[in-house]
Amino acid sequence: MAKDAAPEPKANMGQPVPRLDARLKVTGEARYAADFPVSNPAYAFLVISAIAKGRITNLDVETARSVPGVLDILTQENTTELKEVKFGAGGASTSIQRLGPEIAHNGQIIAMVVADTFEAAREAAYKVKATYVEDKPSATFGDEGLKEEDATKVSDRHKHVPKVGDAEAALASADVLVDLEYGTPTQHHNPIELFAATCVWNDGQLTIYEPTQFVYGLKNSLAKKMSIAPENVRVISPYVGGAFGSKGQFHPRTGLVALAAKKLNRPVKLIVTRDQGFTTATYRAETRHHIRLGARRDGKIVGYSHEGWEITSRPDAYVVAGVEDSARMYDFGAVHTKVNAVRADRNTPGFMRSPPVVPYIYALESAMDELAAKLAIDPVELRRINDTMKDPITGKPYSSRSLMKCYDEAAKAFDWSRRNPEPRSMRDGDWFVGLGCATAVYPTHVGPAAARVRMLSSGEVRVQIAAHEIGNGAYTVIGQIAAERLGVPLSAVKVELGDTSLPPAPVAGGSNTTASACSAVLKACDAIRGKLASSATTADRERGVGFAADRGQEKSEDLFRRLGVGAIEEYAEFIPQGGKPDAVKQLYAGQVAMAGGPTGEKLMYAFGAEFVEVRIHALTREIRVPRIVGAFAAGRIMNTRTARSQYMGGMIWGISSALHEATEIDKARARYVNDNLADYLVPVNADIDQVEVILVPEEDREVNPAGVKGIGELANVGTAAAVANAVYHALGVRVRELPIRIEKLLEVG
Amino acid sequence: MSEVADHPLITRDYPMIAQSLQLAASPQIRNMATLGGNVLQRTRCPYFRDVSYANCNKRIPGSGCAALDGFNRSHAVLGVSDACIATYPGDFGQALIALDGTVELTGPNGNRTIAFGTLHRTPAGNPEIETVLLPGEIITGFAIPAAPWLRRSLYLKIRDRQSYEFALASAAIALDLGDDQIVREARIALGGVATVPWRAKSAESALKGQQLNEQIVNVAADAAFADAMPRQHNRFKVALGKRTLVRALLQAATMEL
Repeated sequence: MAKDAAPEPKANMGQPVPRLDARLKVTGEARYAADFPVSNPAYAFLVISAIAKGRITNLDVETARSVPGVLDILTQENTTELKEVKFGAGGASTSIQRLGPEIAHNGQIIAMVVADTFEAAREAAYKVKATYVEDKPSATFGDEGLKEEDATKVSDRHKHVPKVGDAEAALASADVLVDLEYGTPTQHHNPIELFAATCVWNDGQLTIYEPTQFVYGLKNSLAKKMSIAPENVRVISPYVGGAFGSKGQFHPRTGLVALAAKKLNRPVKLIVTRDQGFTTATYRAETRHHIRLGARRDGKIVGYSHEGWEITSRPDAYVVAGVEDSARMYDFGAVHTKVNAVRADRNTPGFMRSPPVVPYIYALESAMDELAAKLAIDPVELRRINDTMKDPITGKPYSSRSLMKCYDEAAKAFDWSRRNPEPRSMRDGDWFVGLGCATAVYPTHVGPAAARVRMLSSGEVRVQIAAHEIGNGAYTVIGQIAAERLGVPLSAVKVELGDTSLPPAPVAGGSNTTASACSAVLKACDAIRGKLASSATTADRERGVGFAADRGQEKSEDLFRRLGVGAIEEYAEFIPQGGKPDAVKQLYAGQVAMAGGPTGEKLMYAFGAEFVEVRIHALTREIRVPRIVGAFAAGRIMNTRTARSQYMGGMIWGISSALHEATEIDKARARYVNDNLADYLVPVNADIDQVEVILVPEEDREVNPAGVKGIGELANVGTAAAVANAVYHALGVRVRELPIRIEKLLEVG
Repeated sequence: MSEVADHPLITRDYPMIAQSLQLAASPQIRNMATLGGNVLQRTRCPYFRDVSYANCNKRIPGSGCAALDGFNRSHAVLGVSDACIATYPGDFGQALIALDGTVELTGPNGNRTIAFGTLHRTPAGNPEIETVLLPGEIITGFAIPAAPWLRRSLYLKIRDRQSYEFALASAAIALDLGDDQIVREARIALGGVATVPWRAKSAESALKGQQLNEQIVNVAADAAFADAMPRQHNRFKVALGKRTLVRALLQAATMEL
């Protein structure tokens, strides 16, 4: 296993160095936001609504106030000075801006108790008594009272509807047509580290310890919320214990903590409980899809129509609109797409690992398999027939696309050729065996970033950038790129992240961190190299003085001596191609303009292919996944160990998404039922057997200076379709609504 | 739990008991847990566990049952009432009831022994009263009578993931087979589908004296679930429960002793 964990680098891949923070994390030394010791903290506990829709008619806090140790109870009455931070542009939700009296969803924050101890705060919180007038809520698809709207009319996140040709005519003329509906459930991120915030005021300066994917976003949004200057706010978040999108946007609850700390003139710490995290943060909304694919007899697709429906809250029209990516997947001919926002009495959904592509590519890749079956063409060959190097919508070329290479390598490792195409044809004793595959895809994003790098004559290097370590290995790969560029060993590099006293990096979302942060760090390192090089003599250059990785250190010492300095510090700003000149200024102000995906002159995407073997018991229909193989090509791979780890985690999440995960909803009450880690199912070790990752070499110098495509959100895309396709192959039954559970397989004989 | 689960005598002579313990919880929990505590484990019903739900007869007698029209996928189909459909979550309890185990109790009024099958109460009128234990009484021991069917016994547990998860359906089976696979005695209990540890006596009598084959085990499974009362989200438990029982019986019949 050790060999597997550190794959030998192939072309355009970095060394599999272990994570710089590995030991800190496994020994508990890494300091997470809630671990920072502060002097004499008070503890906060949230009070949330027990109904989903209606109005608080009375909020009785007197009994709660009499609990010994209670210091303050924040309610709608005494928090009016908090400003609203609008939804979008970094703000997560408007539905929890106000603590009442209107209730827009179940579990809405209605008060916050602050006390000397956590226990007192919790006890008092349970004694806050709300009286409501309750209306009948609409929970999800199929309920009365939902409001369905064309997403382009209500959402800032979906303005361009991918469309080309006459899809209706193309579908009508197709030799073979599939016309299908799919559904995906609500899912919650459930990072192991709970949502938390500690606020400390000191002479008008506010310090916030909070796990966040965007320290600068939090800083600026909180400043707005509190009506103070952003320069008076510092956010510290050196490690994030899982986020997956849930900690990317500013949540109004931090404003409550900051206000409580200000009123009490004492640090206040809030740790949101697991169940409260289900309703006071975001989630992946359930979706429905109607897909039609038409093809000629030879497999060439001539038309693709995809309409999606996504649940969102009443006040916020959040949609993921994955058609913007799915429409570019194959040489479709004519394309028609539409996305609908469906408003329900729910908290506002939000980004969750690979937000647009997970539901939309699941639907498309399932439909591709159904089309392949109907055409009697091998599913891999159907992808090959329709592979493309340009955007079917605009005709723009891909900067690089190695999809079929991924398919070929994964198919070989998986031994796809053993597959009998006939469904329900492969069996091992009491178990049906099924083999399925699907495409993984993720848009390559890059954002503006700034970095400060200091190199001492001794060869010691310090890198400072407010990028985020969310389990992605950011400390390690940023350290690696500086070490490589400055010709020093990685052990000589110290990396500082996650603090607004450092130069800004974008939100750790859209898998942009490595591309953006490394591009800025590269630029600062190159400036240092330039200065050192300017002092080198011709003889030095001929001798290769400077930056050979093995002997750069002592040689560069000569160059420092000649320059007459002991250290060089460079600050660099990186703006992606096509970015606005004030992009870094905007970043300081908490705004990110991300480039990439379908938006530039070339399409920028990373691809992969995943193959899954399932076994289904002939009688009791349990589904097992003995093997999954994924091959991925994503430009330069900085570190084969951390890359494999990311891919492996993604594929396991994909299996989870296919077979286990769903937030169950009590429709009558519009409540999440399984709001804890015992009942919200994710796979355990026993559910995950062989997971094989193949890193396919790919070089792409156009995506960004670092040549990397984001990989954090690639491998959990398509997995659910691959599992569903394997289930079909095993049993001959299509399950078109996730997750695939036993009950959906019992009705077939 | 783990001491009993791994004991060589138990694994050899009482496979059903060993398996019912091995398939429960996680190794860490089994290392800490006691057998007495395990059989008294309370339901996972979310409407009972989450105190913010107003309607739970088990928590607040007379307040109603939110699970009846709520998300009741995990709920019981046997032994239910309109007052409560919460599932008994344990595994070991099925083994004890199948094997006619007894429970030794100690309390303020001295010691007593009761049949395990009488320990738990179905939720008919008072779901808030779950057992016949008196105030101050604790479980001090279990006894399982020796019987010819103990070696041909097993516990089959079907669930949403392969470990650390409660049963959607389970079956505790013990068979005493004569020549030509004739069933001399059968002991059958069901888990994951009932409000209490559930003995399926109708299935046992359907098998008794019959030659064990696919047809008769299906008859027995139908008998076991004849009185099932499913609701919106747990209808599948009738089919799954039957299939689980069929699979377990066929598997027990082929055990090499």
